[in-house]
Amino acid sequence: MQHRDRGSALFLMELVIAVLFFSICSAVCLSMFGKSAEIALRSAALNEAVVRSSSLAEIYKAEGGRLEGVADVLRQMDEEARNVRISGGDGSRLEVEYEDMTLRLEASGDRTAGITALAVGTLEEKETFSSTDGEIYALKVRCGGGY
Amino acid sequence: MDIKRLQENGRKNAALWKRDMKLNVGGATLIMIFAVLCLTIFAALSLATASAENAAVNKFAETTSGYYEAEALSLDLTEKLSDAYASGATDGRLAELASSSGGMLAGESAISAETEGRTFTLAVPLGKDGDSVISSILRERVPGEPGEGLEVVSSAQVETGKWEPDTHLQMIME
Repeated sequence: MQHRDRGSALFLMELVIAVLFFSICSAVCLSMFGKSAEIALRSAALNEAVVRSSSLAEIYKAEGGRLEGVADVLRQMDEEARNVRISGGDGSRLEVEYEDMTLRLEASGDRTAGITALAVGTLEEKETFSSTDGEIYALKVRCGGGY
Repeated sequence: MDIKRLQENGRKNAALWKRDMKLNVGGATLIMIFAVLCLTIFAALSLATASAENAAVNKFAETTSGYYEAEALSLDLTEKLSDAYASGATDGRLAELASSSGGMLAGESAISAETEGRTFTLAVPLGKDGDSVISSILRERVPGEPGEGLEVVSSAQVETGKWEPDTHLQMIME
């Protein structure tokens, strides 16, 4: 009887040690999975931001820096763009809203423009880009101007 | 006699205690080891994949920014060179102007036989590694054409570094 009790106690001890070790290992592994998911989300958003920014830059160059022309092209061609609007006091700012990001094009007088991709919606909620005020990517573009 | 029996019982108890105290490796431990191994392998693989993808996307972003920066510099230089050429600057002065802004100007490019007027090749390095340039061919506007100075005939990204195949596959994360 005494031997059987001792055996059960040892089995219980083994089980407790196994569960404890498994908990520690799974906690470490789950944190690795979480980190991977965050990195993957950041990469996907950055990739999309770069593609959309360069696409906007090419349209800006093709339209010779005319923001009305850029807005027209985006309204006709970009099905993913939810809203395209020109703002700013002198109409020098163009904003394109997508599901998870906003592209902002700010034109300056010397035929150059700065394009910034900002995180919104799910990306902003998850605070993936909170350390940089939601900025995912920034680009400077210049159109030819007759050359 | 009693002492002998007691000694015998003591030995038996010690043997049983020794037998029961050995490390038990039962089904629970084996399943736990298998689960931990699976978790660790999949977690490491997912982290390695995500990191590799992140590095590739960062490189893509850097290359794209570098391209637009070089293109803007190339256009700036073209404008400056065109103005200088229109005001009668010498070839040496034009080359000096290009190099002072980070570009490189070479006279009489390869397509000069097909075009009227003098041509120049302007090269602006792209990115930090300098393995590629934005090469623009500038042509002198001949009398009768609108405008003055130089105009861009063509512009393209040209690889200048020696291409080497990547035969290395990294298996362990650093």
